[in-house]
Amino acid sequence: MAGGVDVTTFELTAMAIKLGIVLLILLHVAPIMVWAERRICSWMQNRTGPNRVGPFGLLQPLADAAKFIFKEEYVPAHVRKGFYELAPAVSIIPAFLTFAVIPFGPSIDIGGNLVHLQLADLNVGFVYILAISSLSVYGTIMASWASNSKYAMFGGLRATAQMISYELALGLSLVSMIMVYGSVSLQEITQAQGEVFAFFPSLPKWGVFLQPVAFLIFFISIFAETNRLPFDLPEGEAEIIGFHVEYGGMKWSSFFLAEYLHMTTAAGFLTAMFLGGWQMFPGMYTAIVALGLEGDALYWTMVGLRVLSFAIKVMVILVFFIVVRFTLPRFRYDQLMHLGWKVLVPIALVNIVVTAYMISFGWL
Amino acid sequence: MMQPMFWTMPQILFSVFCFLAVLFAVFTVGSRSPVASAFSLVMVLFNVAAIFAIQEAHFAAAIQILVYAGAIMVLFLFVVMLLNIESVPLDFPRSSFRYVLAGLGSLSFFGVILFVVAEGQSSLETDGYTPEMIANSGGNIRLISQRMFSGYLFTFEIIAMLLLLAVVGAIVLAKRKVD
Repeated sequence: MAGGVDVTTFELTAMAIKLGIVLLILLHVAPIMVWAERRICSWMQNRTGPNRVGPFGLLQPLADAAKFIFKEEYVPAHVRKGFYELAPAVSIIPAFLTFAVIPFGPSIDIGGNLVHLQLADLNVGFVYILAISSLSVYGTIMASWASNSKYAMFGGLRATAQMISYELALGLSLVSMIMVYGSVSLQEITQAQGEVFAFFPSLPKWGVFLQPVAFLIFFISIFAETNRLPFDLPEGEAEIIGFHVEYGGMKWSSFFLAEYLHMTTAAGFLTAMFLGGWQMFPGMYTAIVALGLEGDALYWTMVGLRVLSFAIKVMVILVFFIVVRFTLPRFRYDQLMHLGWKVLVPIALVNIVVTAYMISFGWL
Repeated sequence: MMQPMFWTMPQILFSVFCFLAVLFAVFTVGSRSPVASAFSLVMVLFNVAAIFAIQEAHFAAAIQILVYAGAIMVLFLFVVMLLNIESVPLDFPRSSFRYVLAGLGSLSFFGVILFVVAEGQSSLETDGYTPEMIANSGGNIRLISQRMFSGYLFTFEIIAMLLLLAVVGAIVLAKRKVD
């Protein structure tokens, strides 16, 4: 939002390039994740998996996409037409918007101009992510209602109740992080994580070491928020039928595109919040100093390594999402609600109080 | 008056979002399907949040979406969908007494708003809160929390108590029905 501020051509160009790169990467995450999901699944189950189309089966997602696009756009007769067509779009738009505030690198200096490797540094910081991702539930509600079918309706109700319940635990786990860092800007939070502990200098002050309880709650909650196993009751592809049962072809796959986008944003959010964001892994700095780089070379190597560190962290979390999917069984619905409301929320509240005491005693 | 030929970007955006907000408000009232009404109300809230964002009130915008669009409207939709009302028949006779009363009521409310806009004496002073000042003192969230936990602490605590009472009351009412 450029509130009457002068925007130079340089800033505009930088913005356009960043926007293009981020959108391209986000669009490619879904097909690559589908491929990774199938390959890792088959590897865990001691099968071969898709390996015929292209090297390592890498072109399989392309073939799938072509199949989805050329499929007949079948619309059942009993649906509410307008909302039925609108729902996939409604679920995809928030998924694309949320990545905007996640910093994927430090601010870099190009010929005296500062470029932030982040699409928008809003002063509401990550509250923006919470706000926009809370809108994504409308895609689900709309799809389930527009389908005009009992099974889709039940799937939608399950999804809505689950998303609202875990949003609470997620938000509460973030409150203690705000207390520790005194900021909601992910760029500032990432910068603060560059420091090291006084008593053990090789351990960086990442959120996961400062607030392990908040990290666990956040980590569990994002599984529920992104409808991933063990919390995939909204979808339950094969067994319990989800909100998208009346959808087919590209409309169906856009719900899954949205899911993978949410996973990417959640992984980026988790990385920026708890895993030091674009801060390099311990030891990387010593390594490049040992290489004897200086001046510009050192600067750009560091920028590159920082972006690379961010990417590696996000990828590790995404792979973890997949590994968990094929390891844990699905929760029963009452167990899911029990975990959300009677376990995670109370723990998060206690964590906030404990954090407050620790801060007032000066231990954090 | 403003020169319509030289509108700045925020002014254009402001008019667009205002127009959309009013348009969806009309849909909210006019739609026959309650679910469509509720979805239109979500769009109204979203556009109002956009207007807040144009005024540099990012926190108000985010909270507007998070609380109203993201939480309260979901509950609205839940209730409407569970009741499963298909569409409301418009069978009020046009000459009915209620119709006239409703028309009079909304007209007089419109008159009040017109009067306030035309004759209002409240100043538009912001108490020294300019965008620069807010940015210098650490952003909206920091300022709001400072005010909330200093000058308005008592009010804040009372509201918290009130909400707690409402929660307890709701549970008591629901439990009586279950037992």
